[in-house]
Amino acid sequence: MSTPRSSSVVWGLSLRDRLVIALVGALIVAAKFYLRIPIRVPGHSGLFWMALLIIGTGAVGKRGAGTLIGLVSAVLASIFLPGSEGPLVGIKYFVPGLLTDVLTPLLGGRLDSPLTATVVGAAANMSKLAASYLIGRAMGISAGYLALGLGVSAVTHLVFGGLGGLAGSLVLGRLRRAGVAAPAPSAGSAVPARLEDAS
Amino acid sequence: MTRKQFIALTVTVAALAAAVTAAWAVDANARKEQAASGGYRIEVTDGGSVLRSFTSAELAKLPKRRVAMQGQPQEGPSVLSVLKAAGVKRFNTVTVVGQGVRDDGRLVLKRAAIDEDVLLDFAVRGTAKVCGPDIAWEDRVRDVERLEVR
Repeated sequence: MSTPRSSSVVWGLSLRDRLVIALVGALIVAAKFYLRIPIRVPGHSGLFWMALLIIGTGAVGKRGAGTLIGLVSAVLASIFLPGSEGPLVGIKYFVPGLLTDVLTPLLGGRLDSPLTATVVGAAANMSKLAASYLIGRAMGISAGYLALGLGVSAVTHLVFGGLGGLAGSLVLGRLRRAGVAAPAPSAGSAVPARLEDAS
Repeated sequence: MTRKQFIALTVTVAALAAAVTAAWAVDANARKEQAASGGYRIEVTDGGSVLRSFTSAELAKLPKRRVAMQGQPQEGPSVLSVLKAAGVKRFNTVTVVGQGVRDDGRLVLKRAAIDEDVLLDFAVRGTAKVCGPDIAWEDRVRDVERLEVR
């Protein structure tokens, strides 16, 4: 994999990293809009969403990548998919990315590990549900309405997020073996490189 | 996996299990409170006055229809049968008003757009949504509270 020249590095992110972040952030919003499976199960969008988040974060391989992917998708969702939540919908997109960045180093930093990615994906999708609930409360929607079906919703978010994380780890592993994604962090360092390290 | 990572993994899994348990508890509490307050209802109004307020059980007694929306079966009483049961004889538009939790919470349907295939389908969470083969997926209103006829 060719390394970009240092002049094209911004905040420790190469042009390639920035492209991956922008593309994955946009793909998450596009997937949410277009890849709708009519199965009447809440949280199923997490299957694509978390898979993309895991692939994007792992492909960049630098701390902060998940947060930036979340930020890009949050901005795009606020503009193109505001729904009843308006610009607040962005929080729902930002939080899973942030949580991915927080959890991944704690769990070993390897998103191509199926176990790590499954747990990170499940937690990130759950954080999306929690963000939705809090946004609803902030908008003054009755807690009773928001809480109805929350139990089933929590389980399905957990399952679909986990499955998405697992799928993402398998794809990421393939991309790493093909030399397309950033290599996994070395055995000695559990944390991915910080954004500044690359500059 | 190092010991530190194993502990982090265990804590994360435990936190997720706790979150799911808490969600079930909150859900069960909400259902109890809803039952105590008379349960879920859908009102039919005309010019601001309530013609009839239906409980879930009353809606369930109305004849059910089944339609497909995005390839998925939807089942429930037709909006027309609900309006008829509420005593509505003529109308020009029906505004479906929902909680607005997961959608815009408002859909205006002209008389010509309402046929027997426009239904109130009950979701797992026990609330109804308006749906029909000609209603776009993004236009459906969930957690319906009121049908305003004009």
